[in-house]
Amino acid sequence: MTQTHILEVRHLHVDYNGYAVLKDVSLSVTRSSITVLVGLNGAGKSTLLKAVSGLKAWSSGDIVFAGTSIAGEKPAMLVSRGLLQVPEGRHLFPRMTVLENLELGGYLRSARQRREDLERMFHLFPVLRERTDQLGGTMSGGQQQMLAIARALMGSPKLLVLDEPSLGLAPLMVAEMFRMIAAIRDEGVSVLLVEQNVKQALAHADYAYVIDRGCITLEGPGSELAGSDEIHAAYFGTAAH
Amino acid sequence: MKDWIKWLPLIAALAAVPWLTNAYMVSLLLTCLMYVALAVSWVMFSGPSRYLSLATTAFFGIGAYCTAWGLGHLPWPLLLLGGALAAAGTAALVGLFVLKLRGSYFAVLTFGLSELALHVINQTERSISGTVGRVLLNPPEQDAIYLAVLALALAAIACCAWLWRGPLGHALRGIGADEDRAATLGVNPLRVKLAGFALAAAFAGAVGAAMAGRWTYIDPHTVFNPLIGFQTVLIVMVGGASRIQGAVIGAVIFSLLSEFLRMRFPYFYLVLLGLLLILSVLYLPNGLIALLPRKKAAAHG
Repeated sequence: MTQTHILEVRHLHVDYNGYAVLKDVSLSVTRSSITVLVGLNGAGKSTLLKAVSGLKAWSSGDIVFAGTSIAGEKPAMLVSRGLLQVPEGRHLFPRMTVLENLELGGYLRSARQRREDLERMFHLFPVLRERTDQLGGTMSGGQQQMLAIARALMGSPKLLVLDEPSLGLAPLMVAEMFRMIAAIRDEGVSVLLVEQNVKQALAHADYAYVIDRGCITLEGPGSELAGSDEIHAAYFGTAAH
Repeated sequence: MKDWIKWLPLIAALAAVPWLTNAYMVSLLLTCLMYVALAVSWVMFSGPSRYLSLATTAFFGIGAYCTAWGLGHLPWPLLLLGGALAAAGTAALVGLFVLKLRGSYFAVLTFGLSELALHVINQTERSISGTVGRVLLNPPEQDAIYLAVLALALAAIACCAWLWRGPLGHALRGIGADEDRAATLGVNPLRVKLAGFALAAAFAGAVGAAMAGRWTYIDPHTVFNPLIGFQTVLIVMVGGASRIQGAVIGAVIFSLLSEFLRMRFPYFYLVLLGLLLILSVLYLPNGLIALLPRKKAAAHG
């Protein structure tokens, strides 16, 4: 199992003050793949991501990253093990320059690795090279999202967790964003993507899960789920075809 | 690196001051340089991290007592190092607890630290040596103190520039913007804050150890004067916390202004000083440094 899966969530139960938010959630992310988790607001997506990034403790079950449980690990520890998250709303440091944001992303790496990674990021996101001295907060939404992803990649992740990367982006930018994510996957990084933009997300997913009221209700290859009646009923109000 | 070559003439001129001018000028510039060193040491940690520390008084006083206890037993330059280490050690130890707090709680506890240090030393002196104050026999010459504080101020500026350019500086700025967010990038906030807090404390401690030689009589209430900590924060508020130049300009203006007011209006000078501070905070919330064009200043590093 651990050979093929970079991340496994096993029978996870999480509650807030006794109120169960996640009930027996199991999912796994295959190495070098894009796994998508879709669900409506309040379905438990954010809670799951918090648990995965070490910000929320769970009551039972386990989360295994690269073969080892992450129970009790602090976020910084997980980053050094290669689990990086780009939270919803990008969470850049708006008063820091593009370069400073990127350098902070490579905080745990040596100065030489940081220089090499910086070059790679500029290659992957040419727009960032032109704007190294601009303050992060003054860029457009799409550029900020690229910077947020590039910053996470500076930490050389094995698994990149993206929370709603398409939120608030123009449609053209959304398409561009998903192309980038595919390019990142092709470089060997596994991606766990949480999205409300169901159509686009499923189109790019290697595998997908649907979460509803704290339970995984549906799973399968992205293309299969994209055509399923349940998805259409839940998100578009009509059946497929 | 070549940035500071153009400052060499100014540095050389400052170093030559004891031989070129009179004792009053040396004393005036010494006060200036003391506040430059303290303000830069404060801003190197509190500027990017936004942890408002009132502990400068504590570190200054601990450094001063290193000189008070060690003078006559150890060479004075070694006491400066001792003051730096003692202050940094105290900062690291206390930081383990207070750096977990945020916002005003942190500020209040650092203020408490100065009071705590005052009373600990007061009690120690009373019970062990049976004195309240100490007379410094054979204090160093004012010129030697001046040169030491000049060196400390320059070292603080260089250290701050180096710190802010490297990963530790980025991490401190990230912590100042959002501590949890910085942690998601692999920054260990407590460790980074401890390093920054201790480094800043080292400079304040060394300055205290150097300045102690200026007084021939030292007691806890003189060197643990809360005004030292408050004035340091005010200087940075007036000058601006975003750049080193802000702290330097603020310190120079503040020292010269308070000296001028003290001579002209001996009874009202604190009132006038307070008024000017209020005005500058109201109308220049980002400090005097905000009046300088950004580009030109960026070229200075």
